Amino acid sequence: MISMTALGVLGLLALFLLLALRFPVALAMILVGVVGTVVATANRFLLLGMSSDQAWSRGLKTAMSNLSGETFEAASNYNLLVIPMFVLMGNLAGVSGMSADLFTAAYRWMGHMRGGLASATIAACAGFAALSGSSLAAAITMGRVALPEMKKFNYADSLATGSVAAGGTLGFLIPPSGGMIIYAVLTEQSIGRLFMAGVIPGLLMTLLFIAAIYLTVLRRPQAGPPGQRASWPERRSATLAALPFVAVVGLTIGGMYTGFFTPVEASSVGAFLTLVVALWRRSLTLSALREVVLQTVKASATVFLIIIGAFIFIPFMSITELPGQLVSLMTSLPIGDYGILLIIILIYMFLGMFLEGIAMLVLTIPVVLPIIAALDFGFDPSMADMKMIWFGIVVVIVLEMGMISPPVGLNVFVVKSIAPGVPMGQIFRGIWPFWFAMAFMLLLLALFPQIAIFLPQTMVG
Amino acid sequence: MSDLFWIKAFDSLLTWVAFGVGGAMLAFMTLFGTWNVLVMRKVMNAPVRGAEDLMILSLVILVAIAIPFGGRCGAHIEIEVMESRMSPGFARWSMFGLRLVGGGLMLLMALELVEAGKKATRFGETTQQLLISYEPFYFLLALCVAVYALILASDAVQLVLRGKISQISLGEAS
Repeated sequence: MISMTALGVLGLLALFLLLALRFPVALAMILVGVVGTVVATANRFLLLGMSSDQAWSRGLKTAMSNLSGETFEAASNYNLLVIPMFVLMGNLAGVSGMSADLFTAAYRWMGHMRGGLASATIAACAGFAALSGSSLAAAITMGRVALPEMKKFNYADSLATGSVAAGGTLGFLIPPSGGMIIYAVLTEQSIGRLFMAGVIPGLLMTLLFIAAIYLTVLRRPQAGPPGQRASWPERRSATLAALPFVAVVGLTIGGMYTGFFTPVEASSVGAFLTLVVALWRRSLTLSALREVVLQTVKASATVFLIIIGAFIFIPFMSITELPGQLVSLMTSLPIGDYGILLIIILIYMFLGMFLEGIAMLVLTIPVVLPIIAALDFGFDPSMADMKMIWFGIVVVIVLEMGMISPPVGLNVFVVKSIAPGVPMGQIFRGIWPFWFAMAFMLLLLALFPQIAIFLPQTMVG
Repeated sequence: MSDLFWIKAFDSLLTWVAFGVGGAMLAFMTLFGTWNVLVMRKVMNAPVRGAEDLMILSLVILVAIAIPFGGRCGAHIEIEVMESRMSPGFARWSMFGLRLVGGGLMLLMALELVEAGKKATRFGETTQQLLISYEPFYFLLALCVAVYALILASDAVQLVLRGKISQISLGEAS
């Protein structure tokens, strides 16, 4: 017989070995979850004195029951309807031309300033993030529009590509966010409250990114030369063209905040309104429609299989009691709540260098969450849910940092695919000001948790 | 080397199913969801009975067809960072072995879903309002997971025959 803790550690090691061998993350979680549940359950019954045959039979039965039950549970989870709906909304926004309108509006207002085009890219990414929950979608969509413009005005490649890669990460923080939906499902928190918690940090992060650009061009003015100043009629027409975006975002996010819609309802209405805009602009050709549908089905496949994996893996972790042991270990360290938080953030940053954001989220939450639950961070015990929501925002920002960190920052690879002539090293050099802006945001969140929890506390319903 | 013809035919079928069924489910969830909320609930104050049930069943269908389609267009996340440090032979054969393991695992999942589906009606596994049995939806999910198992096995065959796995390309959009 093997101790439960050792079994949990072995399970984690097996999981990372499978991941290193390029086994799909979801399948690795399912495999380790199933085998681990068989062994752990049998082990537990053997410890209780049950015969070997009966114990293994019980273990097998539990694992098989989890395999089918958790799979169907994930596929039929009503709250998860928001995933395909918000992905559809983002994809429709991409083909409807709303993303280009957003960039044009931001460009007309900010393009004449030093670094203004890069700032306009960040502002447009923030806007697009409010329509799409994917940072990759935001980086691709905005990159295609903004990079040629920045090249035209002789922007430094590092600043141009860095601002697109970093701006794209806002898609993960500003609601609707795919990462927040998964965090909410895994931690049993309200999706709507998590979305609201992302609004103020998302806006602050946008401002911090723009400040990072300002500091960059202050130091190297040639990195972001000013563009042409737009006339007032040009600014007005560009702003008017971006109004459908304001309407869609206002209705979906505003509807959730005021309690008029649940998140699921808001996702359907948001997708519908974006569909209307796309039809009204006659941009939804048959090939565009095919692309939108297939991309939405593909993104749904990514998220749902990984959630199924997490649903099967998490019970195994619970049986081993490894998370509980880690809680005891961490809380016994004489470094205080924030010292532990710092360790967790550093571990996330390290993992973010190698793991994809959503994969990292589902792999770490079962272990990290009990630790956070055991600490108070100055939150009143009655505010335990708010603490989890606050931590969700912290995690999402750290995951964003991973998306632009070498060597496997996904957003950087996406930008590289749009700007093949720019060396990777140069893109990563352009990332640093934004990376430090994110680190500063984390500090602000640690010092002032109200930044994240003010809106969820005041929302209706 | 050109794509294996049976892979091409299979991809074409899978893409049409994903587009047709996936598109229908997405359209239903968008249009019916909006109509139920805005018109029936907010304006008429008479939400459609069982609307949530229908949305859930649509989601199950969407997820079911998404899993095998995702398997052919690279949707299921893999961590590639260690691959560059492996010898090409080890990377190829380890991937071959793991694709077969993955296929076996998915086949097991499909069988368990069939077993669970057979008991669904008996155990009262139905939607909450319309009391529609989950049985056929378990079977559909089982079928699609079994197709994904076949895809993983075909990946292994491709690795042996061509040394690499070809996938459906959806372009660069979002």
